[in-house]
Amino acid sequence: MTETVAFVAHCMLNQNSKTDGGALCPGVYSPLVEVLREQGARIEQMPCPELGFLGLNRFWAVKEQLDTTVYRRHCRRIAVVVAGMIDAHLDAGSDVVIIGLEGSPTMGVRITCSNEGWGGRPDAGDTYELVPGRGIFLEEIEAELTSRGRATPRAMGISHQFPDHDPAVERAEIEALIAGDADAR
Amino acid sequence: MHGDERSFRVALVADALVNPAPGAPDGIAICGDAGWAVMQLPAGSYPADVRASALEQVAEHADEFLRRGYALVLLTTPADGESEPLARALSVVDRELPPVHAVTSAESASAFLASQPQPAAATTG
Repeated sequence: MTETVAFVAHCMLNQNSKTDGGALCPGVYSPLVEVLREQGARIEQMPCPELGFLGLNRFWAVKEQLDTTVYRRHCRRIAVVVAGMIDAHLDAGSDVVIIGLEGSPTMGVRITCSNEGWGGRPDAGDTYELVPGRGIFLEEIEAELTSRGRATPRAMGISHQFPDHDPAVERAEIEALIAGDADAR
Repeated sequence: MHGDERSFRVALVADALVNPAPGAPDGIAICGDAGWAVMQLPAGSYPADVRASALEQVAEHADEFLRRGYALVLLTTPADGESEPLARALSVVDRELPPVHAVTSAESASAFLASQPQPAAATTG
């Protein structure tokens, strides 16, 4: 039986890495882990590019703010590490999936966040839009894998921070992802 | 900090505890039940350069948590293939190994986590 390896966003196992206000549980987002355990998937936690680049006291940000050459280089440096790990599992015959975080400027899979005007004083009170698209780190992982001649693994994003989050739907999406029935590319 | 549900407690956890063999202690469950977050250490089976690069990321993250007053510990297996390479990675950011516990059972690991002092960030955050 082919082993499935799930590369998960760092914050899924470490809610302490979230931007202030974003941690929804003390440490581990257990609903994801429960499904991965039930499905017999191996877990690989990816680094958090935002934590490494901006630290724990960072402000919330939209994709346009982080989309600089230097931040992309930072993400690419980490993407090289993750792609090296993915390579090892694919070479061993494993199936690989990626589980990011929807709405994130860095880890979004199908949804990222956008506001072209954000900047300046952090208390501007402006809102942002959730828009279709990848986060920057996901884009860099995709680019790194492409440069290695690898296809982008099947991927989905956790959406536990959205008001309309439905745990049952999310569980079904994870199960489908592992089973190979879902492809969010 | 405005506050959220975070615990300010992070455990560096050996891969063999994150992806345990049948019947072995489950490091994620142990940490999750105790309110600790998990930072996974890369498996020793990765190519040496990949493992070293992954440990570099772990060390940089660990440094940031320590700078901000979060609690940090290391959960290893009794065979402990993690401490030495992690110590090398941490030395690059001028850090030493955090308190270490070799996990032989969920109970012993839970007791170790519960025995850790209150992190500074939990009182000042």
